[in-house]
Amino acid sequence: MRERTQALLFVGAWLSALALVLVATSTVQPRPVAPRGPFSGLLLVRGEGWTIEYEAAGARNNTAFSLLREASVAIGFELDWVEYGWPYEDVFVTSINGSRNDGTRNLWWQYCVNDAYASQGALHQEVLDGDVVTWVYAAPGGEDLCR
Amino acid sequence: MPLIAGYRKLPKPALALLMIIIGVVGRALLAPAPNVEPVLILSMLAGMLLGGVYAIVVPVAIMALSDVYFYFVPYEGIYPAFSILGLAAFTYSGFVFVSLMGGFLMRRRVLWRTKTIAIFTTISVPLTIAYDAWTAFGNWVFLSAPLGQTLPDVYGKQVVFTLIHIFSSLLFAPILGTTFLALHLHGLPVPGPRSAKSPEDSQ
Repeated sequence: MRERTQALLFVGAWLSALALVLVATSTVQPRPVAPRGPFSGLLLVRGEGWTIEYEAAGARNNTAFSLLREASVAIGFELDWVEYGWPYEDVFVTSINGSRNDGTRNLWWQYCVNDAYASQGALHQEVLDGDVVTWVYAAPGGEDLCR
Repeated sequence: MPLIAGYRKLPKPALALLMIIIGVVGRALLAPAPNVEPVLILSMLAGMLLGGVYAIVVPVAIMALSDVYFYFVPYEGIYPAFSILGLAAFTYSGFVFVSLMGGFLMRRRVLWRTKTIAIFTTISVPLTIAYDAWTAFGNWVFLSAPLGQTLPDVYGKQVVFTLIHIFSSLLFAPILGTTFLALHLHGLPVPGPRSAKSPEDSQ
């Protein structure tokens, strides 16, 4: 086969492979939580020796993170996070009310929903009517943190 | 009027320096798109075209220089130093492995042919998967396990990132592969009236 024909075939295969991988990526990419109507829920934030409680009535921020953000604005406590862009479009909470993630003491902000430990990013965790979202500043402890 | 007078051969240190500059700048500029990066392909090229000590120096230099930027600017204070150093051990060794494998698998195939680029591009896919499997394990050991996540969780979440990484490798392999293969085999084009042998003459 002539070099030019080989080159054309290669370019065709190359562009096809790129398109195929892009399609595969979009199919496995996490879907964002769809906005829903107003709901009621309870948010608890447990730091070192302090607790913040926020009752959300008629809230529209229906993810574990957006509800926390709503509470930080409504009550007026500090909240800091790092955003992860495409493809995950999620956040990593780094500080709440002055308590910052501390790797040396192995203390991190984690969350539970209805006593179940987080299984996904806080921006992808949907909060439903009547749910209790608890943010805990502690060493990673899985389900034990949620009780 | 001819625009290229000839081709000036590039010594290995110059080619290595060019790879390092493109790697550092490319990694920093492409940082907003996770796993879209030229380092893996440049590591393969370092092993394939330069070999020897360059197979280690090029990927390590790209990572070390760009990490200085990443961990002191956008990631400053997010992760503990122990975790960063532990993860770095996996990423650096992963790129060195890719570099050595690139050199081994492409030996005796460094020719100015479409087939060379096609094989190089194809090989980049399994090497990308191997690299991601290795570094995801490192991520679990140093970042995710301390947060209570299991290894299957980490590998599950890695799938989308590995697909993006494969896209990145497929994208950069022919572009950087052709560019550096030309520079290695024929040298840098020198502007001016044509007087020396060009790549076309060698076909």
